Amino acid sequence: MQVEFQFNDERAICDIAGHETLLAVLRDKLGAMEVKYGCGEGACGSCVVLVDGNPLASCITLCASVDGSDIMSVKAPDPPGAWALLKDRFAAHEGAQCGFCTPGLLASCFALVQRGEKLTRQEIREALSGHLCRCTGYHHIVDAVEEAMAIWPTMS
Amino acid sequence: MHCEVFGLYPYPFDYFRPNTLEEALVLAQGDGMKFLAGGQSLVPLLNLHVAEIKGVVDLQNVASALKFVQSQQDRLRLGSLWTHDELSHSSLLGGRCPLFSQAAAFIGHPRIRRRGTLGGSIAHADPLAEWILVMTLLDPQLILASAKEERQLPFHDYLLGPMMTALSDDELITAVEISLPEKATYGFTEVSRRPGDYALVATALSVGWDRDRIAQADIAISGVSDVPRTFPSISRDMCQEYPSHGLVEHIKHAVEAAVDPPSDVLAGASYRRHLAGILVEKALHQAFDEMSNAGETAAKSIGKSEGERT
Amino acid sequence: MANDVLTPQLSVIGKGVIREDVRKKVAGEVLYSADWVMPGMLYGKLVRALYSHAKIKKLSSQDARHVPGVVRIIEAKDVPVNQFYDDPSGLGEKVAQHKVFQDDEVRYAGEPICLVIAKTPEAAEKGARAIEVEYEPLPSIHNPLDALKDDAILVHPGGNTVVQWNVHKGNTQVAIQDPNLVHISRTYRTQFVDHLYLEPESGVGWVDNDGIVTLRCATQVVEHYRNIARMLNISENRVRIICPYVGGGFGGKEDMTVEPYLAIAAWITKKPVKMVWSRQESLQARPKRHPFVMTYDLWAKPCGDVVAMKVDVTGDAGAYALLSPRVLFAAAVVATGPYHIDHVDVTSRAVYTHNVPTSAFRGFGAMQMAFGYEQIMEEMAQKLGIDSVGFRRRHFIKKGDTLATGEIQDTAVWLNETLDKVLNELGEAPVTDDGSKRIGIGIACTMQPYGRTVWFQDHASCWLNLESDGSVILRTGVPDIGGGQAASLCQIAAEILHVPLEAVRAYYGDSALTPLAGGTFATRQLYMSGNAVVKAAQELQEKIDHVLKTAWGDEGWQWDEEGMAYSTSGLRISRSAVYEAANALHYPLSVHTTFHAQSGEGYDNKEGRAVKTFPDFTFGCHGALVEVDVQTGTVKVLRYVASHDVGVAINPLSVEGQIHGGVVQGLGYALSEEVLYQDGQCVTALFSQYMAPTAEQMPDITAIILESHEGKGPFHARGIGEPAIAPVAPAIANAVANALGPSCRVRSLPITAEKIWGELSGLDGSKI
Repeated sequence: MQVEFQFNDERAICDIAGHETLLAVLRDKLGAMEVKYGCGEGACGSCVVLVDGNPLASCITLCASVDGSDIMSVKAPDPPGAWALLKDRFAAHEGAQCGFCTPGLLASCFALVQRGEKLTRQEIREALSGHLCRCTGYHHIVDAVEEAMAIWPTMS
Repeated sequence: MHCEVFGLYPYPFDYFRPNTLEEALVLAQGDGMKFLAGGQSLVPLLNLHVAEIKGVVDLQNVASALKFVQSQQDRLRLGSLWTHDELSHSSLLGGRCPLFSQAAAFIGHPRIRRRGTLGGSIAHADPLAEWILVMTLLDPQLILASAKEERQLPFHDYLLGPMMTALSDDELITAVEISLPEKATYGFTEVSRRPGDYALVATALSVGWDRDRIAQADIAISGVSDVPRTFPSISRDMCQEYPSHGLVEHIKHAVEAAVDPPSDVLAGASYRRHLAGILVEKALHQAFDEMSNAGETAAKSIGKSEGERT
Repeated sequence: MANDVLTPQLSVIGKGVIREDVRKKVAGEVLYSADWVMPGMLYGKLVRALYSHAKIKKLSSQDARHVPGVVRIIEAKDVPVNQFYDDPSGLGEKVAQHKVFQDDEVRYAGEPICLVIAKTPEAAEKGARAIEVEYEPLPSIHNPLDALKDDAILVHPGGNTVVQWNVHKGNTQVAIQDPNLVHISRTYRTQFVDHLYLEPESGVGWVDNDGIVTLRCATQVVEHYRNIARMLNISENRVRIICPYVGGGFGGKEDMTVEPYLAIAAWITKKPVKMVWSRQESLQARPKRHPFVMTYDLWAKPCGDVVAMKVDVTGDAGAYALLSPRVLFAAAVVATGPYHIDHVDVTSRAVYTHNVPTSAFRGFGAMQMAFGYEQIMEEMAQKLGIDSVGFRRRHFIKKGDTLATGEIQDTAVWLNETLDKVLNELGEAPVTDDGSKRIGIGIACTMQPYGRTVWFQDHASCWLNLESDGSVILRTGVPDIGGGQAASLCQIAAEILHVPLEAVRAYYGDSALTPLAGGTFATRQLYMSGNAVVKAAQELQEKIDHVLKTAWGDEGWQWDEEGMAYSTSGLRISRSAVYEAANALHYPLSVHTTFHAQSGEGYDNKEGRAVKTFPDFTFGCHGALVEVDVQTGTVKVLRYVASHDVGVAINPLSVEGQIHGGVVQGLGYALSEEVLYQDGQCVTALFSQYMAPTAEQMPDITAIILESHEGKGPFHARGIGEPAIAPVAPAIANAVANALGPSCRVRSLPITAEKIWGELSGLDGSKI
């Protein structure tokens, strides 16, 4: 079957079979290697992308089901600068070490920041509890998100 | 013997996305078809090749038809495709049966809550899932639809065992219908190994009130038997009683004596029994507090009064 | 000598500079091992054993061959040398070697049996499932203490003891005769845990234009090309391993994972082959951290002087030795902790069982011991009725002391300093008015080696060039597993060469094109490659100075912030001008050099003595404040403070990151993580069943970095990768015990709610 969706502001038209996951299609057909396989259970968060603005685990999302959606990864064009802000703060606080969980994590952070959420450190921790990071101990990640949330309203 | 092979991606199957419920039910008559709601439970099984199917019937285009709340005097009918996140907002049910929002708060993390559905969870029938416990407590009528017929089945006839149900392959849970006492409060609490994970032991209970007196009560506990169980005779002990420490202690001990939990790698029988008691105690306090907070009873919030502090 | 470098005013070292690799990573621009794609690529899937002990009667691949898309089944008979050869102790100990494919007797559930190669991952998986193996199940043994008994089932013909290490100091037998001594004996136990790095084991292998078997894969050791050459029975100059940025290692990618399978598949099919292990496969079958059973006997005078300590350690090696001999050696060396004790007897052994093999994991045997020594010290203080902090302080080793092994501690020991910082920051435990909660405070002081044992003759090379445009290229074989290994080396080169950080580019992790640096393990890379880069950069700078003097005269050259040389007479020379001048002088500005670690002779295991074991240790102290729910037994970590003397922090931001990461991994180890097996079968093979900490239940962490300027690394830095995890479990154990009150203590990991409840209700483990 054919599916059509926006991926990072480009129209993607793919011939796919029903069983193909969004993760498989993004990686193997569209070459979006920033979307990672980490567990296949929707549990680790490394494969998270934004589907119509919502963070979804692409490894447990069938590609056929996102026909017509608007999908974004960390490489999405970014006129308002929310991605850039997050990337910058993550780099400045070393919110990534090995970096494998980072693109998925940033997708969830993007949704939080863009909603204009202003959360406490503990609320940030709860909001990101669907993402496992094994390197940073989360502290620097929370630093980065906290700062991005504080700066974003002045940018938008 | 064949090797167990945990896969990365699913084996081939077909995909259908019907626009009407009728279409969906017709499609489901095909061999090896599975309904796909949030996909939270099904797709991991397909990725790992634990389950193999011929096709999925994606319900996203019919979801809005299965997101409804019909509120009647003594009854509440809930569409099956509400997400955990939607159910976590007590306003959804107009303040009725806050047990739903209490239970939903314990499910997974934000991404899971936004995606997983009530019906999906009931169909998957993991015995430690919060909804399975809630259903065991409320014992609703499940509305099961197939292309051929629509039938109602009480939950206690539906759940046959861990991940085993009376649902036919071509049937879809479209709604749950709950009988609600005129005035009831609820308790829900659990202990899990990590926040958001399946509980080791969880307790849900409801207390129906006749003014400030307990008219009726039900208790359900998961993690102490292969599927969640209720305690009819212990619950009966509460009828016509006023909330009191003595009553809570009595129920707690009765529950501890009644459960016969298994020991497994995650927790031993003694600890599960202990948790059952503690969690019943906590859940009773929740239900009693809710009643007293509503100003409906003279019974003071027990456990929170000054004298209780140690 | 590298250690003499200490520029009075450092410009890049000690600054929390932003790592360039992190910028790339957050932008999603890094291609990890699984992200590599090649034309005509095939996919591999391993068939793994179902039983923990069984004879393979027959392997039928007939059905698998007929699965559409399956290209080839590779079995034991297809491998030129179906055997690995390791000398894990470096002392020639004989250990049972494992095979590439098991074709005879399966010794753990998950042992690789054969490999299916297909055109798609799905076909490879289908093919793997269609392989039929006929087994004759055999009785198996899973408890290492049972495996030590005389009549135990043998895992390998040579006996179940892999190795036994002894450490002797003084004369314990005589010393403990004093009837006035207070003696306690306690046993502490640790569990199987998984590294759970987010990047599963993965890579692509191919045979390149010149017939070189090339693997681009996630590994901590590019030097494994030698093992691959041996397996294929080809010369070492025909195998190349390229290691892109690795998505986490923690020791789990120190032994080979996908390497031999990619190599044999590419070698046989002559096509590129990709293999990615599923998460569940990784959890089920890849090596774990050693569970330890540690029995401590401690004798002290009633006044609070420790007299003697005996330690007996048994580590479960699983079915094959892998790095177990080394892990148990590290355990033996630090068994007494950072304490000066006159009479010591330590015995540590690794034991074969039919469990999944255990091997390297951040902390490497030394961290398990901290769970023992930091509790026995606490328990003795309690028994003596004295303050446990003061008790520790009295016995802290000092610079110049003789350790239990007989070696001299020759660098600063900042135990008191780190302890002071932690106590000061933690303050007093607050009082709770919630009757169902209790608050507890706990500390742990530890020592953790960095660098390899001295008889490995460890060395690391690098190659540093000034380019014609004035930029600098650093070539080094380090695998960068996420800790900023390459970035720190760039900082060091930039510092010494007086160039902006952006001017240095590291090419890393390629066994063919970058000088070999040894693996990224044993907290050795900053120490080893850092010193190598110091040496190379100093030599290169000397060459640059020479060119300046020769071409422009000796005029007191200095360097400005842009990396330009200027002279007292007002000359300003760019580095590209220096390059040109050097060219004209036939004087290449290129240095290839090797740093050799302090080396020494092998360990005297009979006497239990050494002149030197590890090059040095990193010391530190952690403190935790916990809240225990006495009704359910659940623990909440309210505050966590960690302090280490890192000698000098090359990049304080990265040091802090190492500490935070170590602490959280340690908190998982302390409170929730465990890979559970029943009769050798993994029952927690799902990612969602493995209780690694998420952000939600983790506290903020206060990391306090101290700098004694006495490490053996570059600029006197010490390693911090592994040391940060060691104190966590005992700090938590002590805090929980403090909360529970006298005579309650959980002595096995993880410290679950159930075990705490068991202590509170006076039940022993058998009744739970």
